[in-house]
Formats: sequence, C-alpha cells, structure tokens
Amino acid sequence: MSAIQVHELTRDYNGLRAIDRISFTVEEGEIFGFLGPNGAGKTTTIRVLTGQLRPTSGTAQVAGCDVVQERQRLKPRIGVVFEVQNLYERLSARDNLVFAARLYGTPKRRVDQLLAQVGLADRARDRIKNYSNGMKQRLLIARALLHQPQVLFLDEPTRGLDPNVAREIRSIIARLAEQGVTVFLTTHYMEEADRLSDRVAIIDQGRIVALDTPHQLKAIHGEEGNSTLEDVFIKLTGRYLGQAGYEQ
Amino acid sequence: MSSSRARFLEAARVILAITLKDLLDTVKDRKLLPVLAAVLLMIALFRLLPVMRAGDTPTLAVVDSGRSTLLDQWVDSSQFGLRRMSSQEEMEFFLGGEETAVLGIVLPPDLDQQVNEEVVIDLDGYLDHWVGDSDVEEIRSFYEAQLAALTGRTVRIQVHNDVAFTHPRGFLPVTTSFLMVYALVVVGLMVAPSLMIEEKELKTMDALLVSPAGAGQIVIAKALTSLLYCLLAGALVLAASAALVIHWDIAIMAVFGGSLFTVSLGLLLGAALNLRQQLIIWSAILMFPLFIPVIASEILPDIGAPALVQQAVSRIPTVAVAEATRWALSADVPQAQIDSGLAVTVACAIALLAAVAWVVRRSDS
Repeated sequence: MSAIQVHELTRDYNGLRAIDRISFTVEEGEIFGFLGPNGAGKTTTIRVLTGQLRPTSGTAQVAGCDVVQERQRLKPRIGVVFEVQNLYERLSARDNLVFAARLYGTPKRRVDQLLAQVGLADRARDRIKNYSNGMKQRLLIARALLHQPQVLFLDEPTRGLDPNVAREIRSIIARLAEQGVTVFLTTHYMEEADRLSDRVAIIDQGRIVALDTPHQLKAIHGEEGNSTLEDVFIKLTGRYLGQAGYEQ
Repeated sequence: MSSSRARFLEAARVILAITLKDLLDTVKDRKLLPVLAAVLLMIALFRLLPVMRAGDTPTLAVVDSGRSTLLDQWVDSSQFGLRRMSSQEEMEFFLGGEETAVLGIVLPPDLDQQVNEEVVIDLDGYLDHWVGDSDVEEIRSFYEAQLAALTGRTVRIQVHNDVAFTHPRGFLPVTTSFLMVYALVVVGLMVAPSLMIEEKELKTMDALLVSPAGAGQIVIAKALTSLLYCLLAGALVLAASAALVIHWDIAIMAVFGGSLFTVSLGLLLGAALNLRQQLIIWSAILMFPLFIPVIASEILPDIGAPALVQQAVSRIPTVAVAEATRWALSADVPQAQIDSGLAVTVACAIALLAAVAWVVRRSDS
C-alpha cells in the first residue's frame, strides 16, 4: 500500500497557482526527494499533505487518510520537521519533548529514548536558546518522531547547517528509512537528494517536471555519462542554482 | 469507552498539555514580570494614598440634634476638624466615603445638661467596618482625651464598627474598582495576546496545528493560562482590599467576569495580530475605550446625564466590573443591577471567544 497518494492536486494562493495538478505516489518505507527552486511549490505541497492547507482541487491521501476529510485521524500518523526551527526557546529540550509527548499522549519514556537517539541526552535540560542550529535540528527530528509517525515530512532539514551536522542529519534520515518510516524530503542540496532518495520528483512552477529514481533521471535526462542530479535539475528547470534562488 | 468520551478525554489532554506548557513558558518569560510588577505598583500606590494623608488633622463627624453650645468650642480645636452632620444617615454616608478612618459621634440631645450636672458623658461613636481594632482603640482614646479637655468632664465613647456603610462612590470603593479594572485589563491585554502572537512569531503554531491540537483547543488552553494570570492579578487586588470587602461572592464574580472578558479580548487581539510591536500599539489604543467609560460612569451622575445614558454606560463590561467591585465593598447591594451587568460581561466574553476560534480556524484552513 502507498504511504502517500496524490492525484491532480492543485492549490491556488493569492490568485497564483502554487501547485498545479500534481500526481505521484510514495511507497511505505521510501525516501521521496521533492526538489525545486524557491517558490516552486515544495512547501505548499507539504502544507497540503500535512493538512495545514486545503487543496483547491484534487485529492491526497497520507497514511491512509484523506488530508481534507480525515485531518484529525491523519495528525497522529505524520511527523513534520518544518523549514524554520520552531521550538520553544525558553524551555529545555526535554520540556519541548515532554510537551509534544503530552500532546500526542505518548509515554514520557520515549522522550529520553529520543533524546539519546539524536545525541542530546547530555544537554537535555539546557534551554533551547543556548543550542546550536545543528542541535535544534536534531531536536526537531526527535520531536517529529516522538509519536512514531508512519510518514515523516522533512522540509529542508539540512538548510543552513555546517557540513558535519548536515551529515549527521542525513545519517539519521537514512536510519529512519531502514526502520520503515516513509520520508518525504524537500531539499535544495542535489547531492543530498541523490544520496538519500529512493525516488526524486522535480517540481517547477507548481508542476512536476520529472519523477524517477536519481539513477534513472540521470540516465534519461543527463547529457553525458557522468551527469549529476544537479545537471538534470538545470536542464529540466532551465535554471542554475543561483538563478533559482538557492543558497550554497 | 464510547467514542465521544474518548474524544473528550483527548481534547482535555491536549488542552492540559498546552496550558501546562504555556504556564511553564510564561514563568520563564521575563517579559511577564513587568506586567505583574505594574499591577503590584498600582496596588501599593492606591493603598499608600490614605496613609500619606494620615498625618493631616483628623476629622470628627458629629450629629448634634440637641444643638449643643459645646460644638462652638470644638470647632476651634486645633487637634481635629469638625464636620456637622444633620442625621446619622448622612454621617454614615460621609464616613463610608472617606479614605481614612473618621470617627462619627452622635451627641445626646441633652449634652449641655449632662455637662452641667458633672456626670460622666457617654457618647456613641461610629467607625467604618474596615478599621482595625488597634486603630479603633487609638482613635477612641484620642477623642476621649480631646473631648474631655474641651468639656472638662470624663468622656467615654462606645465605638461601633461592626456595621458597614453604603457609599459605593466613596474614595476606597472607587479606587479599588479602578485598581481592579486596571489589573484585569493590563494582564488580560498583555498576557493573552502574547501567548498567541509568540506561537505565530516562532512558527510553533504550525507545529501545534499539525499535532492533535485543534484550533478550538488551542484557544481554550490559551484562555485558561491567561485566566489564571488574570485571576491572580484580581486576587492580588482583593487581597490588598480584603478588609474592605463585605460581599465576597460579588467580588469574586467581578474578578471572574472581568478576567474572562479581558482575556477574550486579549486572545482576539492575539489571533488578529502577528507581531509584538503591533500588540503594544493596539493594547495602548484599547485601554482608552476600556477605561474612559469607567471614569465617565463616576462623572455622569454628577453632571445630570440622562438615565438612559447612565444605564447604557453601566452595561459596558469594564464599567459593570468596576460597579460590581464597588458594591462588593458596600452594605446594601442592588443585586439585579450587578447580575445583569456581569451577565452582559460574560456574554461579551463568550462572543469574543467565538470570534477568536473563528479567526484561528480561518487561518488554519
């Protein structure tokens, strides 16, 4: 059974078409990379799939729940790591997770398990505002995993992190997939998408312009034998990373 | 377990989780301290006013139905000021309106005769109910000595301070009511919207909305946290005025109704605004329509405003809370008027809460 099924999904936003009749499926335990320039519709897609925004038309099912009709049933089945590090800065890491555990009705022993799993057990009682970006990101992943969701949405999880921390985050994501968690990942790091994703969709101006395994995308759209995913991206979107508004 | 019961328990768990988090967060938020400090400062200031006047020459209110010639001597006393009252009712009303303890005495019609017969003079004295025992004794001794010196006779004053006077527009009831409205408005308009705006500024609201928490549950939890702080502020005002309060049920209803109203208004601000800077501006603007009617309700009877206008103003929630607080400090109470005023306040609060839920739900979809 597919973890995510999207059919002809459209969302208009302030008179503009943010996503335009996109369709795809994500299988259980798959890491699905969702790539696109800034403003291509990545975050809007996540917001619709997590029930934060209603689609203008089309349907989407996540973890067996319709994202519009069964929003409450959907909520405990998904975990979301947002693009911004939205934590309660005055509280400690542990307090943040205890709060999330109370919200989801999760046993508190999971808090300590997760803190240990993301390597924050030693700093669990420190206030978040004293944390580095990398520590905050690990905590966000811990919070999203606390209630053992079936599908994890990660919106630019390594953005702005130094290479070592980004590598740690990638290894956490890889481990999650091994444990059977379905991961929906948006990133602008092509190498990251290439290395982590089982399949990749490239979205541009609200439309999916390519969807396949990284290997196949490179084979079909690459012009040379050693084409990278970035080459494919540039060819399909017609833009270099700098033009697409990316930070490197 | 039935599904409706399970849903209720889940909603209760979510509301409790958010409330506990907000309580912990606000305790750690140093921005809350100045708000509570401002309330405490105002309480101290209002309570210091009577103390600052305590050094003035004390006043003696006298009911002299027998038109005693002795009063001409008393008027000249440098130790106290004399206020002649035409009746005991007028005297009690006067005593009830004073900010300091004022002794009222009722002279017997045959006072001059008693003085001539060289008997001990027994007088009935009256003090407001909130005057403490040690002050009663001090005031009694002072006037017994003063009047003995002026009459050349032994004077004994039997002080009655077990009866509360009715003067809802006296200094202490009015200042206490202003203080109550100030405390509830300041805390309600600062704490409640901050709880909402901070969730939006930090984008933690997004995390809440993908969690099992619904828009309504978030609003209820924020309302509960803010209510606790508002009730705390109201309790501080009542604690500082505990000796004045006669009707605790009315006082508590005023605190609860007022808190509910200001918290609901604060939450609506928080739901509509996105930045703390906007909140500071809007809170300052809202203070005027909330406070001015309270002051106006004091002035309108004096300038002979039409009854309809006075009645309409008394239905404004902050005015209703102020009036209920004042009456809680008075002996005789117009219960129906208080009940209807507070009922309007609670109804306004419910309407505001519904508006908050609508705004949050709209932004949620």
